[in-house]
Amino acid sequence: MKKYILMRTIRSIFSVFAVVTIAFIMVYTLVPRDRAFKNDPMITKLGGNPDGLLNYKLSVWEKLGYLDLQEQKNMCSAGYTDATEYNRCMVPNSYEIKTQAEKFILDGYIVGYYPKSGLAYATKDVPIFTRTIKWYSHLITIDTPWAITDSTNSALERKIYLGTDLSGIPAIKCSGCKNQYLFYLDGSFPFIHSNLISFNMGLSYPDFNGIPVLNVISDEQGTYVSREVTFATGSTQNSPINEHKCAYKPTSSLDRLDKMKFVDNYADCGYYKKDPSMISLSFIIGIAALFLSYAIGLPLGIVMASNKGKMLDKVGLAFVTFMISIPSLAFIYFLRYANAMVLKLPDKFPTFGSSNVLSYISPILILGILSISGLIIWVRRYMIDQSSSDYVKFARAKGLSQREIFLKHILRNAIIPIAQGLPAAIIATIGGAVMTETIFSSPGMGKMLPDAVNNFNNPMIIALTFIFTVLSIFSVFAGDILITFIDPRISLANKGGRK
Amino acid sequence: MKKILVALFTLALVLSGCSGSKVFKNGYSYVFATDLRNMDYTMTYRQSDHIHNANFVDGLQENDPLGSYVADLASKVTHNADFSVWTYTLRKGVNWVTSTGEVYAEVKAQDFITALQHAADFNSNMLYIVAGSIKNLDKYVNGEITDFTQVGIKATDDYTLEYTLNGPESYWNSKTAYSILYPINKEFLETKGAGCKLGSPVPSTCTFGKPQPDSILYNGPYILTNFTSKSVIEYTANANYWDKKNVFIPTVKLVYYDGTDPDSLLRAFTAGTYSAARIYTTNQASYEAAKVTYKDNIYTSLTGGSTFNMTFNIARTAYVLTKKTTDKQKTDTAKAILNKNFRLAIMFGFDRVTYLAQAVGSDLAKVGLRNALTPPTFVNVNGKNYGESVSAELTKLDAKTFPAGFNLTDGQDPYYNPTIAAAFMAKAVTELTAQGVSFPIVLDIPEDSTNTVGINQGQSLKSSIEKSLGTNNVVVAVNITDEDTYLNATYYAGSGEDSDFDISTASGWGPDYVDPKSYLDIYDPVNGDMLSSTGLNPVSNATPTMIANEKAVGLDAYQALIDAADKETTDVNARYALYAKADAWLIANAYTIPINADGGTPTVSKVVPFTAPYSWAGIASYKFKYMQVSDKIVTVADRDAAFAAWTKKRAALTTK
Repeated sequence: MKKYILMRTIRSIFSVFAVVTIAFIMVYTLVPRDRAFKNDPMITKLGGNPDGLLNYKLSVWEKLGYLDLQEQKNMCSAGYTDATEYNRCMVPNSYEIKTQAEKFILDGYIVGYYPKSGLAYATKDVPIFTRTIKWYSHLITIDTPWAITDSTNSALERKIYLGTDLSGIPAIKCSGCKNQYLFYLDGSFPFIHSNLISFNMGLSYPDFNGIPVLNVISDEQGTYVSREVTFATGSTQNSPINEHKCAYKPTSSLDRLDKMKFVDNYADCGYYKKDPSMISLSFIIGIAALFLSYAIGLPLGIVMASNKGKMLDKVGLAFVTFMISIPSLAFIYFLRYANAMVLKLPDKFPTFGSSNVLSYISPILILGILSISGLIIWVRRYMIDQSSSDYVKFARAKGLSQREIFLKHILRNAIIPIAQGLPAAIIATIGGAVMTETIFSSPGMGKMLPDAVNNFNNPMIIALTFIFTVLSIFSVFAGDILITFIDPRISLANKGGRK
Repeated sequence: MKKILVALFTLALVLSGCSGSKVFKNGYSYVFATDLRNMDYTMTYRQSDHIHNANFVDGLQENDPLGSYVADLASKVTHNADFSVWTYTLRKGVNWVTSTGEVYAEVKAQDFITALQHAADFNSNMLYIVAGSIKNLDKYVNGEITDFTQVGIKATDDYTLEYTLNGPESYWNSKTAYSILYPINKEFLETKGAGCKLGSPVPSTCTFGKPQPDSILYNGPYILTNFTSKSVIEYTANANYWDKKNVFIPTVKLVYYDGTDPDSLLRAFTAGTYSAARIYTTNQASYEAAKVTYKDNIYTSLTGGSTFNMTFNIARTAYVLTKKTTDKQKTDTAKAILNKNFRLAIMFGFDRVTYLAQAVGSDLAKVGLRNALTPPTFVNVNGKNYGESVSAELTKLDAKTFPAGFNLTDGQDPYYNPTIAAAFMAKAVTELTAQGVSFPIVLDIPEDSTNTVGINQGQSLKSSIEKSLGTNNVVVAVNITDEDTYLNATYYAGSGEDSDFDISTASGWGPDYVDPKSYLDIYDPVNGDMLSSTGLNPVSNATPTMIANEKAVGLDAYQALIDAADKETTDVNARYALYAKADAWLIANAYTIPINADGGTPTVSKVVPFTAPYSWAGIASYKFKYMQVSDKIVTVADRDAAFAAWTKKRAALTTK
């Protein structure tokens, strides 16, 4: 079993690598780059300015991560530090710029010239292999007291020490690390948190311009929550600062306000906010909906199976058939409208916001009910199937009651596939629900992947592909492990009956 | 700015008005359609960013509800005799505050220089507005000079800022309402990462302006308190704002709206959640219901500055999207398009009202009609609407077709007239037959297969023109193609050679500054921004055919007109009068056929009519400053009265 788990883990990691590599190839080589300018009014505004238009396109591609762009000024400053030489180089078609262009061509760049000004530029596409390797090599960072190099702060101490946060709670802190708090406690699950290991999946662009991809999906959202804080300098003020997120800021970047609050360089802090992160919100709504659908769907499926062909079963089937045939979009709009009109529930999540329980009812009901029908059909069919199998016939021959047969025999078998799917279903909830989230404007994860694809947010596409692949591969894995606990007869390592 | 630009949000800022003296202090709530992407206001060019950023940071000048440019951070504006050096005296005691409300520093003249250098270093997407104007800015951006002090912006002291321009620009002041000329505090900028340092930009390590409240300093009427992607955007009034007496709305809450379920806007308005709602005409049943419920309240918003028009391809070379079968048809069409009477026949034979009805329904088809490239109320000439000057010039050019008093105002159709169209066609037939042209002329118009409204509009155009002129004379061929091919043949045609049509309605433009030049320069044969929409290239890469055809349609005369107008730099009235000649030329020669304006949408609102800032260009009109939200729903009568008062005040303002 241990060997099996090890091998399967290796295979899983390989699969993740393969999927992400395919995503890299698709995003950076197969998607036509010109589509990035769809609906872009700049293209019109620069219609009479061919240089501006070319420069605009190149710089957008650079920001989207397609290529590396060097303008003539960069090419010249790379070769000539002397001001007069630089100025000679900045003349279009000069000897100096031609020499620089040749150097850049040798470096694998393609050199082009702006049609009107005649100035040169050089572009280089990053090879897909290099790109993928680079992404993985930057993926995991372990924070150490030697992580920071700041020439403006030679007195920086390098140490890990036991201290307290601004509320006086003990924490393991660091000087010289990127983050000030390596381990800290707070009131939110799982209560002990760490900044020791961090994942870097690039910066989001053009949406969430410049914010690290992981922060976009995992940071709290909403308005600031302030409290009375006494800073290390002794100054007390009402501030939403989240000191646990304080990161190093070079001395040259510290301003007056930083110096008023902090005695060290850990001044680049986060803020406490009112609403849960995208991932948490999707998870909360998803889990509740999952619970709802299992709580209703499972018993209903069992009851229908045990009353097969009777009135109850017929009514249930009619309901299920209706639910399956109705388009989910229509159903979402219908139930939302009905809830708003009859129960006076808000039809947009932000109307009352995340702190009001009323905001959650409609999305959870809708998501839950949408998946009930599939579950009922599946449980009912499975139970009916089983009820004609040999072991059931034998049990019936032994004189067991229908109830005993259902609960003690059939359900036990039926629970195995349900259990196997459960981890995947739970983990899938953090992916969010595109339709309900969009319609309710609830700030969850569902919109992220489609939006990233539409907006050419390439780092986001790669990061989400990575996260979703890891989660789905390991949730299937977890499901397999789970069934071996429920039914010890199941062995993942041995092929049944064969050696 | 093209059709696609016209964002949903504009309607939220629909002008609204002044009635009585009661001051309302209600909050404002409505929807937003696109996430806030970039709060670096000197960088972003997106309207979806401007509508928020304009509320966070103030610039030198802003617009009041009457649309005049009034003192914002600059308490005094002076310029030299030829409008090439502009001096702004800053207000003292205006403070920057952080997102948590802490006072950071005073706004000083140096902040404007910091901002412009930052924008230039980071190759701002708004540079096109000022790069050609401010002395040496272009050279700094290209790297030809590396010393920013040589650029034409300097602070003579803490409160005096001076711009030196490349040449006279009487309209320069309206450009200061663009956020590329807004200030940035240098100390704050440089705390936002090593890459933010002036002169050594590294975008990946500069976090100034990322879409989070703490990424900028605020000196404007509002502070961003919440941006939750695709969910909600909230601001609260800035307690340290220098002009608090003109801020009436304490909080602004905008909820995400994805464009589906348009009826939800009115539902939320009825429930009291939203302060305004656009009413959509696409769902006939709910539109009719709304007309009953809100019969006293539905008014149409003012039309905006964008003009959408039909263009002729003067020098077509691409023939992928065509229904022409022979080369003779191609040369015949080319000759016909160069013929003025033929183009006039199309202009008078095209029923634009039916065309627009395909998109907005027959009730509203007329509201959005525009009859000249430059909106008639864009500027005033000697106290009268610019449109009246254009009309007078038009009569001078062709009194028979355009008799005195020819009405060019928005919202009515002075052109469609099959009789006049047929007369022009008859003349064209005689002239063209003499040149060996055979009829019917086949006119290719492309449409996007994913855009049903567009296809219907194309069919409507075809039917009205063919009916007015006869299929024996003109056949309009609607070429339906996939979206990419369509866009590449029209909006995204990089050059005249790529423009694959004879006539196209895929064209539109909004002004960058308040001067008719901003519209009329788009067809300047030297470097017009919309030349490719007429099949032409800037003169530097124009083909001999293009140059010959430009001459044949008389574009050289047009160029002479706009050049003459642009040379008049001291007398603004004289300048506009000269530009009016160019606008008239475009109409008299049917060089392009204006169709409609943006805006003009049916709306219900609680916003007191005409209290919101108003402008044709710049971003200052996106401010919630000055605006008031009433307790009651505005009635059409109130709004009409307010509109009359507003129009009168505006007229008085310009005749002063």
